[in-house]
Amino acid sequence: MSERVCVVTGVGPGTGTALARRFAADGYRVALLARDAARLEQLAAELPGAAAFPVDVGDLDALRATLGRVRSRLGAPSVLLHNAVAGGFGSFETVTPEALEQRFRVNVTALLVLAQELAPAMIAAGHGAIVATGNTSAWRGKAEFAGFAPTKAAQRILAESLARSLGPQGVHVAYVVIDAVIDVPWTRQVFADRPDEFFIRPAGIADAVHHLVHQERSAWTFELDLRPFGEKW
Amino acid sequence: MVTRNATAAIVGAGDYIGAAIARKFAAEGFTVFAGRRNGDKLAPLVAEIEARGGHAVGCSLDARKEDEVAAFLRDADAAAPLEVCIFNVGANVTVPLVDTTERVFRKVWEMACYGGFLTGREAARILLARGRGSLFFTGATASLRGGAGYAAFASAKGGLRILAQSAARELGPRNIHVAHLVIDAGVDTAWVRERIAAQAGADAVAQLPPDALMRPEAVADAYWQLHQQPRDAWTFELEIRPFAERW
Repeated sequence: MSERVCVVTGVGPGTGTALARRFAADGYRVALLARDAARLEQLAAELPGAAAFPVDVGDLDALRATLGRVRSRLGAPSVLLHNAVAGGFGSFETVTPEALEQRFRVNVTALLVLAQELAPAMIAAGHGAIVATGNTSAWRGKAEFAGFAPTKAAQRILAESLARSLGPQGVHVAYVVIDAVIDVPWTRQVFADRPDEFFIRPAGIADAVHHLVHQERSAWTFELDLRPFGEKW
Repeated sequence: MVTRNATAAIVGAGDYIGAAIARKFAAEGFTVFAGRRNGDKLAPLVAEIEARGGHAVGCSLDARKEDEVAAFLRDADAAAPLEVCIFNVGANVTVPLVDTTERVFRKVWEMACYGGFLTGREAARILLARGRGSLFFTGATASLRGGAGYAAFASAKGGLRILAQSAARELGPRNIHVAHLVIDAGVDTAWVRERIAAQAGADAVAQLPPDALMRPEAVADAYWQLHQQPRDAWTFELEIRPFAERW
């Protein structure tokens, strides 16, 4: 059997890295996609079979070209984890159309392009999985989230549409709603007064995603919500 | 097999999902307390689990009776500390609204919603004292959608879902994992196959592709995975359906 290949977009210090570690630990060759080449190289050196593919996923032509390189170097991916996210907070009066459209491109349009590029091989193989990581903004437009929440809501609906198209063709599409603050350095600074239990660990998210991807096809989940036990929701 | 000093209680341990959950938790070393209206029907399941070296107790239980539910869970906790409680009573009936009698409506609600309240409350009392545990409720497509002919069933299942959500917000911070599973398709049972045959003909059953109906074991695995989640990443609502399902 050829080696299984998993694409992870948005390999930052938190969820993306945890996803890459989890799937590498299960024997996947992991294609690491993000802008920060140095970070990717460092992680690729740590994970057997992993390879760094520096790219801005919001640059759709560059993304397509990168996926071509992933295929020729590692083979056709059977798993896509779209974790790249562009966001920002602030009053709606201050959101520029350019900022909203750029976030939409990374969060939504890039998912469409990734699916267009990678789904055909999954359909041909008769199996595969596409998971996007979202958050509470997929459900709720809070004040100060005007420049971000619409893109996550659209991302969720795109994933749902992909799920209904691809499910009967054997490809499992799922959407993970992380309804909590993720434990990464910058959130620890912003929420410095909160206890450990306030945060969701990236490794916990990665375990949930790994299980989701390996659900047997007679019982697939589309939407999975995740939050810490003490979360107010 | 690892034996644990812990009990998993299943209220509404029918032949398919309930039995598959019982087998799964027994195989993982739990003492299983299985309750259903006619406890005699649990004898083969109990014998099967015991033959594999597991431990199970089958009980007659009317989930609509407060004292019976309390006694069932008390006995379960006495056998070994209660760690998991699953409310799995089904009451799936379709009746046009104008033909739904007061008696049917009330009975469906008592089974699908009120029984969930009794089970949830009694289990919570025990689990809170233990400081941990899981409390899971079985839902259905009707939990989220009132289809034509589902006035009684969907309203009861919708009520059960909101009960579960309220319980999750109340008990989560106290270390009890409450979850609601939306079983959004037919499980592979004789009853579902008969229903498909009745609606679409015998050929439709013969032509079902593999995995088009959910395997009870796959459904049981979803409950098990929920119980395995670490508490910093709990799921409240888990929907499952087969790959080919139209939804």
